[in-house]
Amino acid sequence: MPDPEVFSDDALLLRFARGDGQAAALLTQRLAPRCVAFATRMLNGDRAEAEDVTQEAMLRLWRQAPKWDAHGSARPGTWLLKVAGNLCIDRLRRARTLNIEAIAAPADPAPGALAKLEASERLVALDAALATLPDRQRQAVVLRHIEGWSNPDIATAMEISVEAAESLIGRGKRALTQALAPRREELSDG
Amino acid sequence: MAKDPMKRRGAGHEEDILGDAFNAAQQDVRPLSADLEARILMQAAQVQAGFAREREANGLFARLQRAWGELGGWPVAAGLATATVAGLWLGVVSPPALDAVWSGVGLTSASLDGDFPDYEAFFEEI
Repeated sequence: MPDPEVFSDDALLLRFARGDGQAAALLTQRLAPRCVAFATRMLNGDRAEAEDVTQEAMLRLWRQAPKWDAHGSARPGTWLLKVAGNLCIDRLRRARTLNIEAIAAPADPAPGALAKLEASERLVALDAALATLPDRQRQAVVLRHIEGWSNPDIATAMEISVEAAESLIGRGKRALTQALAPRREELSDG
Repeated sequence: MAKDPMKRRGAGHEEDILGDAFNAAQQDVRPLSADLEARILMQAAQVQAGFAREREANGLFARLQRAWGELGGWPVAAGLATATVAGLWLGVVSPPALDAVWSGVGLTSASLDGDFPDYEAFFEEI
């Protein structure tokens, strides 16, 4: 079994392409949990849907393995979140087309956020506030402030200019600040 | 460094709350469910099996290509095809001009007929 400390994600993906079965298990443990967390936020707390998105994104990563450029700019982790983000946006658009009324209720906290009774108040409040943002704004904010991506990386992943990415992040953050303001008192104690 | 305009307006507290919430979200990564992990790994195994089949097919193709090259490759195949077509054409059309060639070596289609043994008589004897 490859030593997880020694092998980078790129190296594991190349080993997977050459037939190393353990590489798939290691990559899954490394990358999939973060992808589920990201997709859950993108999909307004719907973890079941987020797991489906993660499975689909991982499948695309496996298929990509023989063509993977280990010296390219993308890392498997960032590539995976980019694909997952696009899949989430597609699903949200499809859901909106199918059932506009069910989605057009921004004041209502996301179902996943409500279900997170065990999570901290701030986390629940953040997820509920994130759910009120437009999809692309939410994607940019989550990538910047939760996944810790740089603005140029976000711009590349979302296929927009760096300025547009900065604008999305700025507007999203302002909207979140406003959304959390009424709960300032209760959250400051949490 | 210039002070954050939000903080100048007294919005620093909200910023702090948001920052704390982001920090909490960064830590909010739960382990994969066993079901999802199994589904992902099952698909990985299927994709990997496809790679193995591809490698095998590519290996066979490479061996065939090598053998083809050792036999002379396309130039030899082209020569063989030309000879086959020419032979077929001569057999079907049997151009009269060739009789002159056959007669030069003491053969004509008529003389060939005459030179063959009498098989009917042979079979009658048996």
